[in-house]
Amino acid sequence: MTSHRTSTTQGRKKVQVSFVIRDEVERHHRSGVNALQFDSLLNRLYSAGRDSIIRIWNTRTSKDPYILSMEHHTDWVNDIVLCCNGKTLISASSDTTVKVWNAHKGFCMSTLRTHKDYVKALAYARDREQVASAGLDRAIFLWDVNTLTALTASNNTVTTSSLAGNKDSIYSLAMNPPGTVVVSGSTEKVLRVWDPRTCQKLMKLKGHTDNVKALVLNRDGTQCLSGSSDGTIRLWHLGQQRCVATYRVHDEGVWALQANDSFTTVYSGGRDRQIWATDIRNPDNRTLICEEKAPVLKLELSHTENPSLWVATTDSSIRNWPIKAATSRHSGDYDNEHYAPAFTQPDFTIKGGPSIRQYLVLNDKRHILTRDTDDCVALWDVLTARKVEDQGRVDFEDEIKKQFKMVFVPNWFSVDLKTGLLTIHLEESDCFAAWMSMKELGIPGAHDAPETKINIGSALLQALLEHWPKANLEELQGNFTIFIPFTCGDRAGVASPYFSVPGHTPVIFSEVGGRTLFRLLCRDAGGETEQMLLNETVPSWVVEVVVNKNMPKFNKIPFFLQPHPSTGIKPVKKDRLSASDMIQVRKVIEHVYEKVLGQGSDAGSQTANSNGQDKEDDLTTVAEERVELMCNDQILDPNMDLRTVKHFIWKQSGDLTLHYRPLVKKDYHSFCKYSSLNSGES
Amino acid sequence: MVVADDVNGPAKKKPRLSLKASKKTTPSTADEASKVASATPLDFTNNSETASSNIGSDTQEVSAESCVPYDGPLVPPVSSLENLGNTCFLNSILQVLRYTPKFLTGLTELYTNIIILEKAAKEKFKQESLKEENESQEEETDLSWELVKHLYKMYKDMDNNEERYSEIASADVTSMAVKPNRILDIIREFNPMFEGNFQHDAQELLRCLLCYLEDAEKALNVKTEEFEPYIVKPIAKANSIMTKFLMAGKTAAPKCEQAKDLKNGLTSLNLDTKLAKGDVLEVHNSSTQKKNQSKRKASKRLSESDLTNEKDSRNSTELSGRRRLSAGSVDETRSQPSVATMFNKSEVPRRRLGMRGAVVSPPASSTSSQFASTDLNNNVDFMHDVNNNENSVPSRNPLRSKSPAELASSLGKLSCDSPSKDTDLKEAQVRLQKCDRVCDSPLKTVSANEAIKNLSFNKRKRDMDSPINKFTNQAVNRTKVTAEINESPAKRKVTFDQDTSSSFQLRHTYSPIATSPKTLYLNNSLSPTAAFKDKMCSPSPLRRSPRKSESPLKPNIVTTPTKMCTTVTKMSPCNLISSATSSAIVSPRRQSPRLNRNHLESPTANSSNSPKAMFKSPLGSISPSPAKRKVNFDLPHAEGISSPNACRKSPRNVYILPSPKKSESTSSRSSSAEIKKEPVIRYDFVERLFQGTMMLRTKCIECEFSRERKEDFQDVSVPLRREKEEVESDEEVEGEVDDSCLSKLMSAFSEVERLKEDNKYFCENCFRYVEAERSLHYEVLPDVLTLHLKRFSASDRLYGSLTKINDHITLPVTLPCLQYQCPRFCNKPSHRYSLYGIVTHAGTTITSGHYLSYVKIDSNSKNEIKVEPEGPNAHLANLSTTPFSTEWYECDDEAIRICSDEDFRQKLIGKESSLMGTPYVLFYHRQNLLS
Repeated sequence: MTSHRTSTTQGRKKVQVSFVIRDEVERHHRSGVNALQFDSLLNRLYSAGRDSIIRIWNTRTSKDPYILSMEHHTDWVNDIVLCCNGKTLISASSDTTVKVWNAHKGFCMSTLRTHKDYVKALAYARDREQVASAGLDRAIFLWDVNTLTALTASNNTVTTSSLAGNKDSIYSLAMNPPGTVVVSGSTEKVLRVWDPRTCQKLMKLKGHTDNVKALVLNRDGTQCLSGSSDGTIRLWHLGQQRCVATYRVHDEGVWALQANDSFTTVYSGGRDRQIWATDIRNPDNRTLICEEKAPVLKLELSHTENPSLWVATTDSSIRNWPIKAATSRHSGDYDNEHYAPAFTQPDFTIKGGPSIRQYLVLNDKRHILTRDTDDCVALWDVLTARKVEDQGRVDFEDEIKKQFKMVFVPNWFSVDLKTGLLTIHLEESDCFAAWMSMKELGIPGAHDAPETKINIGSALLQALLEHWPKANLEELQGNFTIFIPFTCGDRAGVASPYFSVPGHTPVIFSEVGGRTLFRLLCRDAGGETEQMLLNETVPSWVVEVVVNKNMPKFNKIPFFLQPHPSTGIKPVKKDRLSASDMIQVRKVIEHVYEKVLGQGSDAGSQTANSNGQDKEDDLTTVAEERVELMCNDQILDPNMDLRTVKHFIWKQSGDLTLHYRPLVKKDYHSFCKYSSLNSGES
Repeated sequence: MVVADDVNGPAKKKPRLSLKASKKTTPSTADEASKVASATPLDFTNNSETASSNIGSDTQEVSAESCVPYDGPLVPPVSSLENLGNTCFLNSILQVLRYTPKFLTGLTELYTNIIILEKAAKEKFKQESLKEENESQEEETDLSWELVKHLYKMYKDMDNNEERYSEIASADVTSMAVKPNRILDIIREFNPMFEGNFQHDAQELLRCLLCYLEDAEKALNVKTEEFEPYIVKPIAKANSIMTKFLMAGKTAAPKCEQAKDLKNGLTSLNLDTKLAKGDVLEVHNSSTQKKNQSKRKASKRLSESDLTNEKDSRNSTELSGRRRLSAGSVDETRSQPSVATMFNKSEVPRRRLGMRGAVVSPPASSTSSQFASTDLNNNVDFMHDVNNNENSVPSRNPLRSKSPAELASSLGKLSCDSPSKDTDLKEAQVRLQKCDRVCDSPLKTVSANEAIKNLSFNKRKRDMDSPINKFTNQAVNRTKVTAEINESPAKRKVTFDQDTSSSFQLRHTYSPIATSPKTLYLNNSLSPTAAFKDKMCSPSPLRRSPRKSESPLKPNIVTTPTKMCTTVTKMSPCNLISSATSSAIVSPRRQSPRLNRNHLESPTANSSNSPKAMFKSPLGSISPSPAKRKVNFDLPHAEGISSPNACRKSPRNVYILPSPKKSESTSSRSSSAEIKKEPVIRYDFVERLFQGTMMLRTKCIECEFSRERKEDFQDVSVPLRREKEEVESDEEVEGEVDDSCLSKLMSAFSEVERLKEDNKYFCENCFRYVEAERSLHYEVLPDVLTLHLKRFSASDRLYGSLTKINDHITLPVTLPCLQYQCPRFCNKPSHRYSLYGIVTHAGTTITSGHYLSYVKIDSNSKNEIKVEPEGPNAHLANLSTTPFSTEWYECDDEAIRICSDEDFRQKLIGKESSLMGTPYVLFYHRQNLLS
């Protein structure tokens, strides 16, 4: 795999690590489908998903049309073109890259990184095997496909010509087959026309009142159809440099256009979900082909023996509608007529899968509850990158209540649903904010030291880069205690951190809020190319943890410890104490019992020193019997940790203040009752 | 309006200098020899050489050059504000607010209610002093309330100064200046940012001021509920306080009111005269009265003449009923002088459409009611004046008597007068309410009398509006009134509400029905009121002071008032019917202000009867205790009544304290179920006046879904320089090429912003960051639109300090429609704004330089009663009889200079001379406020 980089300013922007929680094989689109290409030779349909996956479908079998996934993008795939008689596919994505694929085998041949923003549109000149790409960075690049397919790891430079002049983000692009004209549509509301052979600006066509989202050129490049968010379709005569017709077919924005080869009929779809066939020369002659269930994103004409229209929408299913009888069914005045669609059932449907549309990170900051477009609720574990449980169609809010835990863990990751799958982002700023004890994590090897705290952010990073030899190198030196994790099927005998993630998990390094730098599967980190690229892209804050094994420091929490007013004890001095926010209330009680109240301080400390664990346990039990801690007049459970106390009981921004109260022994039982009551309430 | 002004402009401008001179000279020489004489010596002593402008501020010299408004030895008869050391940022804003339509009305209402509430709180404190100490009182001394009080006082002082122009004016610019020191202190206490002797940001100050006023309103809203049960008693207490306040402003204020009233009357008369010959007579009368008053402005003079008339009526006790009625109305208006003037100013704009004179007078009365308490004191003082004027009064009275009929005829001709009618109706309603109360108890009877008076006034006004209706209506009304005297309070209340609504209708729709009821009232009031007045006059003992004429009228009325009241009430039901329909028609906002006015008016009316009456009553020899009590009751009732009206009309407007009123016998009637049911009305005139709503719309370019968020705003900050990026966009349909035109900048402000590149928008439909278009739209525009030109910006060049952009901006006198739903070229007058005030800044940084303000004064004697608190305008009206004139005052701390509209427009354009300083804050008001 080769990568083409123009002056990539890698390292300037903060780099984040992301991964996707998903099945190994995602056979269905998880979200809308942005683009379609039909290979009539092989009867294959290529679809570009918002789930970042390009899928190949066999249109001859309706049972299980899935053939292959082409996965390498990390964000919406916005457009695809099929070149070289179906051998090569070129895709444009919101991850700012353009990728060249071997369409038959489905692997990524090269990645073009010239764009600086979402790449929204591609255009293809069949006769010259030339592709143009354009995006929100206002730039249009011209690519020679034959050059692109010849790129190798060693010879990875491409010369492109760019068409400048656009003042606004480009959302649509068209090129005629001979490659004599390129037209772009943008939020500038203007069509701009170039000659791609000379890269000369030809003209600017004004008329639309909103963004232009779809463009079609006729073969000789003399006529152009444009679909706009203003709801109109316009026909432009490029020779006369003017708009020669305006078709008001749709109620809302027109997002997709297709014209037949003879340029006599235009098929259009858009936000209003309707698909119309309009006679270009006689606009009154038009047909409502069908009504989709979601806004139409793309149309693709298949010129087979039975011409049909493939329709992609924001829904994940792809449908094929017949268009044979679509001509001249309606004429006359349409304004008051309610149209019945010519077809109510598609010929063919490629079923899509549900996409996650709602999520809630549970209090333990480890589990995520999600709801998808089928209203199914599922529980996911971020640390193991797996789905824990399908809850089925239950009420999301009810499930949230059911899953509530009285625990506070700081946020340490963020969740992204743009692909319809769970994507987790880890950033330097908060990735290491959360610690958990081995016991809490339920790690099997935790018997020896159940209270050992683990930074879950760093643990997860280690798991994600588990197969990166560089990360394992240090481990073998034994600087770090290795626990045997529960074994995972696809993991070889390599010793790894506390847990592991599935090997098929895509791991993505990208600039925060921006471009993708590198994507690999978790299990592939040992590959040569991958190792090389990892060395390049893994940010230093990750290297520090994963390679150098420098664990982040505990978060300290400052607090005050004072006698409860009811005790009558005079507060000695208002010392500002500091401790790990993971420390349990029990430990503070011990501290109070031992140091503040001076109860058996000598004996306690000495015995603890001399006799070790047992004595310490005794001390703890004794301390808990003798002292109770309160916060905001609420008695604290010894198992609670300080951050939880601060979050759920203190609830203020200022420093936590704890009150202690010695318990007389005879009161202990009543206290127990009270505390149990109290805990029951809470 | 503006266009019309232009037509008249040249004539005005040229004469203006001469007019001013003539004003100064003519009054002194011809008519008001005595006053002139008194004034002139002072003037001479002070010496005119230094000129009015020199003393005041640094820029005065320049201004003097540019403006050249003043020829004679005296300063213009307009109150100015003294510079307390780089406080021109404050002065400029205070001056603009003074001339902001409806601002003074709202302020006065607020003030009055605060006073009432504070008394209530004191009462409560007394009651609960054993339980809780100091609590209530401490709460009462809310700083924002202090601000309201002192603002009110300051404006009243300014009015007083203008009233006493003849006495105090000299060549020294400070002779007419008021020191806003208390305001400054409070502002600084509020916000230490304004400490120090550096210049401050006037815009910042305006925001703070409005914010504090809003706080005061909020506090009032909160405490109104808290002290509701105590409010009645407190009112009595309030009287004393009020009296104190009134005492402070005594003479001047009443004069102002009188003047205003007179002006109003004159204007109405003038209108009438236009319509009918009789008006001329009235004008003459007024002028003669003015002459008698001499130095006072013509309007003031007129009002004074009215006052004198009233006084005369009181003195004679048996002036023609109409005269008395008019006098009573005058008294009311007089009693509220400062307030009235204030209100008149504010109200006038709205009423412009309607009868100017009639309209003016009602607002004045309403305002006067609030001020009435103060006015009462003033009235007492004025009483003397009135007495002095009495001689003139009789003559006026006949004129007046004629005038009403004439006015009525003229009014009938002038359907446009409806707004004034509305106000009258409101007043009438209030009065009716009062009358109801009066009916309930003797005290109530007093109030009823007052109400009757009010009604009569209203009727007069109404009569003015539609003479025919008046005549017929009067007869009918009288009969009805008699028949309906015994009506239940509830009905009366209803009627009041209806009246108000009807009045609203009249204003808005001018529906015949509404007019008819009003006219009926008017008619009834006219005749009955006249009778009442006569009666009232007879009982004269009560009328100690000329101003008291109202109060005496009340007592008089009391004797026969019941009938009147009943008539009034009866009248009201008719109105009610009409009002019901009308109320539905009326728009809430408009209603609310009107309601406020009504409330204000009602209190004023009541004040004459109740609160003011309270004040007055002591003055008026009415048995003090009962009168006071009655007054107190009346006030609450009136408030309650007004509040119900307000509630119906506009929830915002008034809050009333029904319970106390109810408790009392009369109040119980008036406060019948309806009042009780009525929700507490909120004080929020600042919000209503200045606050608009913007809609922020964000459209995802991906899914094309728009999210909309609404935001309130009190001013619009306009960037002075547009970003270059958009320059190439060819789609702009802006008609004007000049990039520096304000309207263009405004549209730039609401231009579409693209969220893109690193500033993408997270679309909740797409679950990702997408490009989006964000646009601002004006959904609800305030009555007063404040535009803040972003002249001060942190520039990179000067180390981040605030530097000023001195770019010239072409200021349109009117703004096009900004409402986003409207088509591009919307011509709805209610969607247009006209410029009435500018705060300019001269200097290069925000911490230095000088502020001054320009305010527009529509001094049409007939048309807009923009209040002519200032004598000059009145003079103009009287002397030159120029029907319409628009002037601009250049308020430069102590110095006030007067420009003609035409000159001002030239300055705006920047040709020849230009404005002092660069425009910084612009004030536009909705055009339908005035027209």
